[in-house]
Amino acid sequence: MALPVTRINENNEKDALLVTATADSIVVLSSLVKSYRLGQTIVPALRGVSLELNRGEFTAVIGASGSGKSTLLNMIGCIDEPESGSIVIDGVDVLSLDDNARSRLRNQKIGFIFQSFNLVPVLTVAENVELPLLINTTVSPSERKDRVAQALEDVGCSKFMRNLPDQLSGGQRQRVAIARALAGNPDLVLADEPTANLDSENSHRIIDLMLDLNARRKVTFLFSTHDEKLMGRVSRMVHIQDGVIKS
Amino acid sequence: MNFQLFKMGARNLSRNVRRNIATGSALGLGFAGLLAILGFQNQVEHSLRAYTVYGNRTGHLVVYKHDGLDMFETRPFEFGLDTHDLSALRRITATMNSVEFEGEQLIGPGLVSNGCQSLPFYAMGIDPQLDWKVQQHPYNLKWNAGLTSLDKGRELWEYPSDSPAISLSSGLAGFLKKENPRDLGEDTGSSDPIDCQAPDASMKLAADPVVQLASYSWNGLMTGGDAQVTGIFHTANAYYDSSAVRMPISQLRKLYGTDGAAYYSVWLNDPSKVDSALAEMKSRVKANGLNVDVYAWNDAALSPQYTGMSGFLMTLVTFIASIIAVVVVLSVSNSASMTIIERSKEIGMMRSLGFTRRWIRILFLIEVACVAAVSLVSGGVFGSGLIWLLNRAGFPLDLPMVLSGLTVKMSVSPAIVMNCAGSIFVLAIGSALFSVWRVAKTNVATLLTGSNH
Repeated sequence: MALPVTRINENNEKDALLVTATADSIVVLSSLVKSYRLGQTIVPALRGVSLELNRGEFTAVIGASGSGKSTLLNMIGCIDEPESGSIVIDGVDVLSLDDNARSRLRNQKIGFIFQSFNLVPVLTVAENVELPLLINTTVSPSERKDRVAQALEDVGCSKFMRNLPDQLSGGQRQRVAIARALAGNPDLVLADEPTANLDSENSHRIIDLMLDLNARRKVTFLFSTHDEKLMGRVSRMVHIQDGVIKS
Repeated sequence: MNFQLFKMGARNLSRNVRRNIATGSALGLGFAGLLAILGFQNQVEHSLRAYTVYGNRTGHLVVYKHDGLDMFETRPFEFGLDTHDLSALRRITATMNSVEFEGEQLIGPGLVSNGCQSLPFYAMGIDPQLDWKVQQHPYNLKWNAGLTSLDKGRELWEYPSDSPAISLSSGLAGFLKKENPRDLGEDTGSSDPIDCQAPDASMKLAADPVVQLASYSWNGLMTGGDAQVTGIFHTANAYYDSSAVRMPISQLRKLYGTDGAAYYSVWLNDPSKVDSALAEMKSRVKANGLNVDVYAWNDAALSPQYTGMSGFLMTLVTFIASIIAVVVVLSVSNSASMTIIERSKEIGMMRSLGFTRRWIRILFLIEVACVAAVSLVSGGVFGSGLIWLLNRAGFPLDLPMVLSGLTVKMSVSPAIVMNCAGSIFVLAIGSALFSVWRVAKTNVATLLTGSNH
């Protein structure tokens, strides 16, 4: 089924149909172009990337360092803007939204997992997981508690909920980061090299956990990696090279 | 606002304790410094006001004959208030609700002699009962305590208003060797002329409280009379301390041969309403057809010493307060900038979780507000202790043309505390906001790389 996607133009009017997506599409990228300036040099990061992700997919973006993986995830995560192209997340044209609306979209629809965990050191595990819920006005305090407890249970970290992050191992911290990403009940979880700071055993455990959550919660996962050993574990792989999707 | 975010802001303070202590110290010391300087200004301002309005018997409003402020001293007959003016002014002030008390005063020059030596004086004549109200006014007693009482002797209001009692300023009394005032009615000893060349002349002069006054009347005739020194006072001004004389207005009127007055003073119930009282007075005197000028006590033409000192003090306080403000702004913005650089990845993470720019600003402001609140409490305690010590130490305060004996004193009111605390708090929040503004607008992906700086 084709879904109409609109964007707000400069005159605050809805433009005509921009792209089409199927009902199963959660992410539709169309002809994304992005480059960075390094001194006098302009380095292309994405060169006309188009991509569609369906709900519930577990997808890995693979490519060499500097191939554009992180830039691609940043675009999908609405934390960076392309020079041209369009980004549609769950039927919403992201580029037509203002900063506050994008923040709301990230808060309610997207979960983030970072390579270096990015937990707040002064907050306990439970408080870290609760962080994205604090600014979600649709979630009551009692529901917040329930969601935190459920997310920590899902990642097997309930017993650490009162610990501070520096009392945990790297693998445990990444589990907490996954719980934080899931606490908001997002439709999409983006993970930028989530296993890069972990040893092989912990890397596999994290991927297993993500696969398990993908199956149980029906959350769409998109993660970047250059670890070839993990590639066989995913249902779909997107190869990116020099800012272009190869397959 | 969510309590958890407050908790997080407060806990973040533990992440760089030394830096926060340094910032907090700057805020606390700045607050203590502001309290001290504004407490000093408050004390001096109130003392000057009390001295001008009450101590110097000026009043909150002063009525002169038109141009009399400049011309009375040289042409008193022409530029003094006559009985018709005074009657009209009494009628006007009797119906003004804002007036606490009022009355005419006479001033003028002359010569005072001890029989051996004659010196110029400048006299102030006031009704003694009015003088009692003025000098015993609670505001005067609170802020002008050092100048409200005589150094020696009895006050003029302790005698009938037509008595020959006079008070001499301490410098003049010293020159005349009349430093031992006597109560009226006491035996003043022999009235024989003193041999000024005799070795015991000084002793005899000191034992005799009587002085001779001489002047020109308003009509230009030479006049004179005897008076008895019943009190010694000192003024705040070194210049006047060797020439000032106070006496009942009736006595000075006799000397000048007049029923008139130099000016008419009005003291108000509520000094904060000087402007409206001034406007009312001006309108009333105009309606009564009086050819007079009405001045407020703080008019530069009337009270140049007050306005000069007050203006100088304000400049000094503004300068010091500006330095404190710069220190506060630099400390907070420097600390906030360093914190932001260190935590840019964390800010990026929070933005990616959905925190808006506004939330990021709020989070940092909570941290600064916590530092500021703790600093203000500690700075307030420290400042109060410092002010207490300085007040007790009694450091001498030497000002040009002002008699020695003044000490540095500070008086801090609740309004000063609130204003200083509010200013420091707003400055701290503003400085932090300025620092966090840019980072909150930085691209989230850039923040996550930690390379926004």
